[in-house]
Amino acid sequence: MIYFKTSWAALGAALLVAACGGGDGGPLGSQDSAPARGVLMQTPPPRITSLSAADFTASLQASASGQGLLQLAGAPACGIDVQYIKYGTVGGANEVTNASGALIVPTGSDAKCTGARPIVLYAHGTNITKRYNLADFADNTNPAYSEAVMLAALYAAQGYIVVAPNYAGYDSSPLSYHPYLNADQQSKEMIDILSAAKKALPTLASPTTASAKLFITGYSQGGHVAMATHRAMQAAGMPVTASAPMSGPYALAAQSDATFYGNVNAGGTIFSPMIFTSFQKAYGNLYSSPSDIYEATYATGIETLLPGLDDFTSVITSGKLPQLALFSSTPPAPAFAAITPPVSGTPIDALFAAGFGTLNLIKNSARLSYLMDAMANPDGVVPAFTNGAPAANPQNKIRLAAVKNDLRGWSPAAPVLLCAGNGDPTVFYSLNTGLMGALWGPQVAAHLVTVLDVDSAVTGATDPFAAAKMGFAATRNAMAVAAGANAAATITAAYHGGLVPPFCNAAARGFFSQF
Amino acid sequence: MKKTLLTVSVAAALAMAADGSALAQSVTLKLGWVNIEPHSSASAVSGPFTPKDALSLKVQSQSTLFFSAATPVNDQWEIELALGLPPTHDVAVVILNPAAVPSGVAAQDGKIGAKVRQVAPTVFANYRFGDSTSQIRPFAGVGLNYTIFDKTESTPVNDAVNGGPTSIKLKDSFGPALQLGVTAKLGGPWSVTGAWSTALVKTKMTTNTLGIERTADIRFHPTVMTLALGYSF
Repeated sequence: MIYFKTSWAALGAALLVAACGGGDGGPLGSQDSAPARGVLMQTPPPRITSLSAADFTASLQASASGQGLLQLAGAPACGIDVQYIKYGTVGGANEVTNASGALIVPTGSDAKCTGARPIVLYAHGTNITKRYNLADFADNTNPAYSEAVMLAALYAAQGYIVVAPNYAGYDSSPLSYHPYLNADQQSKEMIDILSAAKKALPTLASPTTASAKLFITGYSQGGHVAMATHRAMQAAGMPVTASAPMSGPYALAAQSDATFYGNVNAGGTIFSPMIFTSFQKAYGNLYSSPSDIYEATYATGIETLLPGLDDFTSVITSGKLPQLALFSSTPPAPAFAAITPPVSGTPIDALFAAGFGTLNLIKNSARLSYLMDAMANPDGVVPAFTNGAPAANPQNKIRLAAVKNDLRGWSPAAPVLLCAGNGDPTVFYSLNTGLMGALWGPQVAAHLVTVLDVDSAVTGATDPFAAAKMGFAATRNAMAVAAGANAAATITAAYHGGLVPPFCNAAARGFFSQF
Repeated sequence: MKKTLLTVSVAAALAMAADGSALAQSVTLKLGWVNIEPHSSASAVSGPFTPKDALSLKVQSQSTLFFSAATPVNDQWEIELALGLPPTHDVAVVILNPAAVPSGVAAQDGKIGAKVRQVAPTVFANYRFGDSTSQIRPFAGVGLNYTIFDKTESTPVNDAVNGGPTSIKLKDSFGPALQLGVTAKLGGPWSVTGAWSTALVKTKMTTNTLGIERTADIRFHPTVMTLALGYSF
C-alpha cells in the first residue's frame, strides 16, 4: 500500500513535468504597443489573404464589378499578398496615436512581379464608417472592400507594392476622431505608414524588395492627402517619383468659401462636420460647444458621429444628419438673400438650392459670421478671381483653419498628374483641379504637371488619355440611357464617387508606368 | 449533542473503514490501451479577417496508454480515477465554404492544422453488478471529467491558412462522464476490463496569428474504448 502511494505520487510528478513541457504555437514575432511614428506594432504583420494571379482573376470574373475592373486594369500578371499593418503616427494636434492600413505586395514568377518593385502610396476617399479597413479582403461587406480590390487589381497585380492607410480614427486606431483634410497630420500619417511598410517588406511571408520609385496617389479626400504628402515629402527632401492627386479639394479655403456663399456641394452635410470636428480637435478654437455652429437637432454627439457606426445612407435615414440642407432657407441677414440660395440661371442652381431647407445643419449665426469675414478678407478666387491665393488675413476660425490646410502656394519638383471631371458636383473642378493647373502654369507648360479632365473630348490621335476619356464618356452615356428621365440626377449622384474614379485611377497608373 | 453526533459519525466512519479494510482487495490498478474518438463538432471559426462560416476544424482519433486506480467503497460501489498518458490529437482543417476562401486555402481541407494534447482525469463512481465472488462483473459508472488542453501546436498548414505563425489555446473543460464495462477475473490478483466511456467536453479555442485573434467553440462527445489489465492489491 505504501509502495503504491509512492509510485502514484511519482506518476503525478511525471505528468506535471510533461504538462509543463508544453509550449505555444511558435514565435508570434515582436509587438510594440506604444510605437513611435513609422514603427510597426506587429512584426511581421499578419497576412490576410494570398491569391495567385489565376485565383485573383477568377474572383474578379465572378462579379460584374470585377469584370469591369478586369477590363480597366487588365488581367493580373501577379498574385497578391494582402497584409494588415498597424503603425505609430500622430493625431491632428500632434498627439501620439496609432492607425492601421493595408500592405499589398505582388507575388508570382512573372518578371513584372519579381525583383525590386515600385511603391504606390494611396490615400482613400471620404468614408464615414469607422470599420473601414482596406486590408479586410475576407469581408466583402467592409466599406473599404471595393476600393481595396481596385487597388489590388490596378497596382499590386501589375507589380506595384501598394501601401494604403485606413487613417487615424478608423478601424483599430484609438484616436476618437479623424483628422480629416488636416494637411499636416495626413501627410505625416502617409509618411509614417510608408516607413512602417518598408520595415515590414523583408519580414513578409513573401519577402519583397522595394525599388527607389515612389508614386503617390489618392482620390477625393485622398487627392488632397496625396498632394499634401507630395508637398511634405518634397519639403523634407524625401524623393517622390511622381504623384497623381485625383478630384481633391486642394484649394480647401476656396471650396469652403464657395460653400458658405451658397454653392452647396453634393455631400456637404457630411463633409462639413468631418471638417469642423477635425479642425476643432487640431486647433481647439472653432467653437466652445458644437451647438455654437450646429443646429440643436444635430449638435449632440456630432463630434463622434463621423467616423462611426453609420454609413452614408444610415446616417441620413436615422436623422442624425440632414440629407442636403446644409444651410437655412432663411437668409442669415437680408443682404444675403441673393445667395440663399444663389441663382445663376444654369442647371447647377438645382444642386445649390437643395442645400437649403428648414431642417438645416449649420446655424445661420455661424454662416453669417463666416460670410462677414469672407467679405472683409476675401479669398483670391471666391467670390471673384483676384490673385488666386487664399485670404491673407482671415479672422473667422473656420476660414483660418481652411487656409491652413489649403494646398495653394507650393509647386512640385516631380511630375504630377491632376485628374478629375469638370462636371464634379462634389469637389468643384474649376476651384480645385482647374485652379491648381492655372497656378502651376509654368509647370504645365514644362510638362511637369499634366491636367486631365476625363469629362472632355479626346484631343487627337496622340492624346495619351484617350482611353480614359472615351471610357468615361461611354459609361456616362450608358448610365444616362439606363436612367431615362432621371438621367441628370443619376449622373449627378454617381459622378464624383462612381463615374470618375475608375478612369482617373486607370489614367494615374498609365501615368506612373512611364517612370 | 454535537459531541454525541460527532462521536457517532466517527464511529460510523471507522466501521466503514473497518468494513473496507475487511475487503480482500482494496486497490486495483489497471494498465491498458485506450482509443479516443472525439466526435468533435466545432462552430465556424470567427474573428477579424475571417470569412463568415467558411472555416472550421475537426479533432481526430488517438490511442494512448491507459491507467487507472480503483478502490472499493463496499462490495457494489467503487471509486475509480481514470487517467491516460496524455494523448496528442491531430486537428484537421475543415473548409465549410471553399468559394469563400482563396484556392490555396481551400486546398488545405482535411489537412492537419494543429496538434493538441489533452490531460483528462476522470473520477467515476462505478456500480458493480454481481459480488466479489463473481467471475465476471459488469459495471456502470458516472463521474466527473476535467480536461486540460495543455500543449498545442499549429502546423505550417494552419499558419498558412491563418496568415502567419499562430498560437492556439483551448479552455479547460469540466463536465459529466459515463462508463459501462465489464471486468473478468483472470486468476489471482489479475483481471481484465473492457469499457466504453464518454464525457461531455466543451471548450473554446482561441488562435492568435500575429495579433489577430480568432475563436471557435468545440464540443466533444467522445467514444472512449478501453482494454486494460488489472492487478488488485
